Amino acid sequence: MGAVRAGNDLDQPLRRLEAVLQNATASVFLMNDRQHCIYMNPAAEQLTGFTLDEVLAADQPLHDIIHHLHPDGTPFPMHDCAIDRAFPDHAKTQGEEVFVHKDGSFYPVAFTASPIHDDTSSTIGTIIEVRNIAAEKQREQDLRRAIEEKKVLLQEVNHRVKNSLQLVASLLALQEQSTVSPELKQSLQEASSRVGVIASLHNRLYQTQDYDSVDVCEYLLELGREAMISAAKDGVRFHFSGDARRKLPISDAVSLALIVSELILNAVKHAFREGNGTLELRICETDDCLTIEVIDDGCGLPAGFAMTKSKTLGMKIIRALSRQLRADVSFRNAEPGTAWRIAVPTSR
Amino acid sequence: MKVLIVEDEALVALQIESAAEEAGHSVVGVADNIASAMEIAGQSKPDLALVDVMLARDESGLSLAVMLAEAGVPVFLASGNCPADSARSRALGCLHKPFRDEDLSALFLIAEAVINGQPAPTSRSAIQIY
Repeated sequence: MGAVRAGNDLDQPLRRLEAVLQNATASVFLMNDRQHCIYMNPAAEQLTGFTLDEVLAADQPLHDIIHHLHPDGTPFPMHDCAIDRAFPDHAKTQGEEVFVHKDGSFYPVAFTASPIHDDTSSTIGTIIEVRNIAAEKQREQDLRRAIEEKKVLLQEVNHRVKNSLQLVASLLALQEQSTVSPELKQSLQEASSRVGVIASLHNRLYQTQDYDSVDVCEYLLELGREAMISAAKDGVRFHFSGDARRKLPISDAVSLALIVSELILNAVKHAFREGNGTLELRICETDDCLTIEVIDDGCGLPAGFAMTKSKTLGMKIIRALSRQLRADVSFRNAEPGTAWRIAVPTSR
Repeated sequence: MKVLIVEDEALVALQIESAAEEAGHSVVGVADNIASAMEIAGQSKPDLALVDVMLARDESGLSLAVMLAEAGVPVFLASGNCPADSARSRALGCLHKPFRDEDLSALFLIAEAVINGQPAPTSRSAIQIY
């Protein structure tokens, strides 16, 4: 197959054409105005399993020979077929279809159907080029499966991380319960709640279908509500405003959540000496910055408080994490109370 | 000793910082990338740099270790996966992560001895000396 006599034969246009068609790896069909195949090259014979003679002898539209069934076995009428529409529509058509091999098996193909015209521009037939894309489809499917598997594994890892962190938080809580010293109890409770913040962010990561970023604003709202519940100060109201929907990478989200958690817990613990007031959490977002404000109308910070000088662990954590986030953390006297502001650049 | 901490996880840096101060050393700076580490090293001439192998923005702590060694700053690496030998990093040793406070206090004792050419006064499984 594909042999062409050497020498001057290739000077003749028809010989040239034959050489091209005989040796091409693309399958080429020439269809007449009744959608019957009147020529197919050797590649097309190999693709379909039928010889040109068999197709000619069948004396029916090519569609009814190689494209008459959907892969589910139901009939595929010719008038629904995109390839055969190229003829009546006078338009070049490209796409993907599934053909039926002579042996009954289905195979995916990519096709181009180009109407051919006579001197008066009426369509007299169609050239159809076809390529078997089974290998490409398989690769695509393998890739999709690999990506799917990766997602499942990452979800699994997030699940395990969450469980392990939950375990750590529980151990610390248990230790708190078996401790008598109020000061020690307080420290262990704080440690447990800090670990808890990280655990619940990982839980969020696991519950949503995302595996590397979380909707941090939604989480901060939850954090605020939970802090209020565990503080159990009936006179203190919690107010949330903001509609930011910013997703942050998990590591940034953890840093930000720990900072906000410190500020909320600090306000709940120290600001409301009278036992009543309002704690407000405001979130707003611009193109390159996420701003979070924690505002209380309580008793205000101690006189002479300086963020950079404070030796409390809470402030040390806030300083360290804001440096890591390249965030700007500041506070002002809200008269009454204190307003903290964290500005996180999001286009780092 | 004047200690430089190069670590991109802020809370881990905080833990090292407080352990160093607890052990009577002074922390001259905390950096999370090569540029800021070299700047602090140039200004403060630290006696020891503790360098995490993976830095912020995928920078390499091993490259930084070489630069610090060339600037005359002794380096200890810190990593979850310590290199088997100093390789090209020219580090004195490596602290295996995750580490505990006891590992950190031992690390400062060991580093001080190694820098002064003395035998290590103690050993811990988390600390590898090259």
